[in-house]
Amino acid sequence: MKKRAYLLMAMTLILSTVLMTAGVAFAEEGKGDFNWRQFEGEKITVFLTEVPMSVGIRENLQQFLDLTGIDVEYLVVAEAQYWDKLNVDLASGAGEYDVFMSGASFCWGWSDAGWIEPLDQFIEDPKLTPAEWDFADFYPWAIAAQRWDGTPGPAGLGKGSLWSLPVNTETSLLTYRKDLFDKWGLKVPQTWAEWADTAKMIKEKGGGEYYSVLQRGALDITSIQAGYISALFSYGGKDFNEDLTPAMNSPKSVEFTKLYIDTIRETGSPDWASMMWYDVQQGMPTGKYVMVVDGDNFIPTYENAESSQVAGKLGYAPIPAGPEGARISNIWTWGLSMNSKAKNKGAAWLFMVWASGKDTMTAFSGVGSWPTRTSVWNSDKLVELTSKYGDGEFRKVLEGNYTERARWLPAPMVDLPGVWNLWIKGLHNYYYQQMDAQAAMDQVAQEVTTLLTDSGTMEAFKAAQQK
Amino acid sequence: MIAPPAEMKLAAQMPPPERKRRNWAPWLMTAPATLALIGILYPFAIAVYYSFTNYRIVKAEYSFVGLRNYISMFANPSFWNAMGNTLMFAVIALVVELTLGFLIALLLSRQVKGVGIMRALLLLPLMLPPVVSGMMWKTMLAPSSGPVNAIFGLGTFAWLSVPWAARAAVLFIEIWSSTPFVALVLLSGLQSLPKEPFEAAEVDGARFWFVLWNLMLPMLQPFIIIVLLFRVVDVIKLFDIIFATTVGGPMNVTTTIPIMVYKEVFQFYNLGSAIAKVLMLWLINYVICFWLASKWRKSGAQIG
Repeated sequence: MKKRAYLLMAMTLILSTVLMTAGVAFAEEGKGDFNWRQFEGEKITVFLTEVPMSVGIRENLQQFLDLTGIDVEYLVVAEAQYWDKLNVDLASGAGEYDVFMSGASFCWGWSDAGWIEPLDQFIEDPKLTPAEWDFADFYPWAIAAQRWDGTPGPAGLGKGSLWSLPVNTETSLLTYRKDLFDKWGLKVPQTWAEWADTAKMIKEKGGGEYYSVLQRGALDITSIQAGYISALFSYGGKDFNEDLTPAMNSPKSVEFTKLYIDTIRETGSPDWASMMWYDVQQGMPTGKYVMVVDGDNFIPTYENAESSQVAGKLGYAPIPAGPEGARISNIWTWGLSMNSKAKNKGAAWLFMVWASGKDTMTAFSGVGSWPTRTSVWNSDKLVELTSKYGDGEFRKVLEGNYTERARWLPAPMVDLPGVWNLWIKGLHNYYYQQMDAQAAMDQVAQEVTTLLTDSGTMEAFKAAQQK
Repeated sequence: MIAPPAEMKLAAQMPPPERKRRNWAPWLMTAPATLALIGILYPFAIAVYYSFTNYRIVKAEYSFVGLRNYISMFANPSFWNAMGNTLMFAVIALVVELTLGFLIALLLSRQVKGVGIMRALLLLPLMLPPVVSGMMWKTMLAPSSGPVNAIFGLGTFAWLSVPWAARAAVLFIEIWSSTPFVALVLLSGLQSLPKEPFEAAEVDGARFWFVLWNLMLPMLQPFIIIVLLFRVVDVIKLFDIIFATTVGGPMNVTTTIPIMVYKEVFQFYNLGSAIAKVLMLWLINYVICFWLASKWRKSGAQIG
């Protein structure tokens, strides 16, 4: 009897151990059954441009190599050469780069040409995308900016296929010299009209030592991108109507353009017409400028104690409101797109998943590389990093941008760079008083209409309307 | 039996003619150059074809449109503005570079103290890529933080935003970058000139201007033409300095054909019409260089 009891106990012990082990194994398999090494041994080429996001990718790349066994070759060039080199590669069909950095406005032309791969198919495949990657964690406006159904104009934005995975975002805000505002008893402008008045007061009180405002103005398409278009939409103006007729010459658009350019001409630096984005980024730290409405990614440069004359002296506020109270910030997102000619699409996708994952994005959401995920923005690292600017004001403004103000503004179309080329020319014509604001914007509207007609965009829009 | 004719008897006595061997050596020697030429001419021919199409780089399909690109180009005031800027920059830059370059070469050809250091300093602008020169001077010319305004007491003058000054600044940077090359070529020319004619002129009491005009410049002509050949090609495609400083502004006063073509391709995506503009520039370049090359051959023969 005793012997039988012991035998029974032993068998029970063995059986339960086996069952437990199997159960644990099953649980472990259920939790980590995503196969990161499914494309082990394959090779991809990644094309990057020299911005903080790509620095983060390169610094953490070994982690991806160890995780997947995929061989990664990458090339980095300065931004000025990046878009041209990439466009030439895509247009030639050479397919040299499997994955490359992208932005919404460029994706429209590329998707229309069939050069990039729509990404939804990869996101929806559980064999290719781990569940913990969490697509819902991305800011909806950041994802919407990467979706386009091919219909030119405002109606097509946010619909259709996803063409890029956003990894880094930039929004616009008002940065000002808090020390000078306190010294002169100035209030932070809440509206664009107040912005113009404050600029005049700064000019009076500054005694010629400062320029009131600092804005982009070079004859380059990036001059429209950040401050100007955010301000225009906040004021009630816009670029296109729903029927794709130009709206930069609407009464509200012209009213704002006049206010904006007049203020810059009267109170800004005389070299506005040659100011590129990097001149704004490098200009504020010189201490010569008092207010700037531009990208949030410039703030770490402004606040760099080692090189900036204004570190610790800045205040931050949301972009001024228009007459109806609207505050809208355009966005720019750096993301990753996949070449439609990529030979190893699976491996390329795994790289994109890794680079846009929560842990990786946290690791390289460093200085000036603000994330596109809510969880990363709320991580301890980002809270600590962003709270140190302006005694927490900067983080507060960005949170407001992310929850209320940020969205992609320019109407999607292949011809967007050409539209902005004509638009900045029009702003120059008004700035140099070659024509009044209405005439300058009317000329832009006419040229844009001709452009959209000649390029076939208008025809494509009408065809889409009839469907 | 009929006797064979005398000619046939004679022919039978002569040894059989040797087969003529083809000499492949010249063909083999020129093969690499021929291949290189095909490599250059093929894309050129394709480009010429594209200039007659409505090819946009974002669209795979395109169609033949005949002379439409050329007609619209000639009817476009912006094209004539850009062409005018291109030729204006070219002429002024060439005249100033040649004059300054010659004077510098003349100075460096003398055995004066410090000439070695001056020669070394002359090389500095040549070391910098044009885009770097442009960015460096953009910083130097900044209205309130740049050293140029501070040194010359010019207040906050905006060199790159006042139209006439933007043109002057671009020309200055181009001349600053390229004059050393002109000086070095002319210096080598001066140093290669025979001494005897100059010694004879000195003995005869000829003045400096006489020697310069009647001896030095004519003998230097091949070198001057070589320099012009190099510089014409370079200055007509002036792009980097403008891109780094004014991007063609303000109000297109510094927009040249290369800047216009760049924007045509990468902002408007119109490759066909952009190539038409490039071909116009190529034609001007070709005519000038052809004329200079014929002058160079003549000048070499005269001096020989």
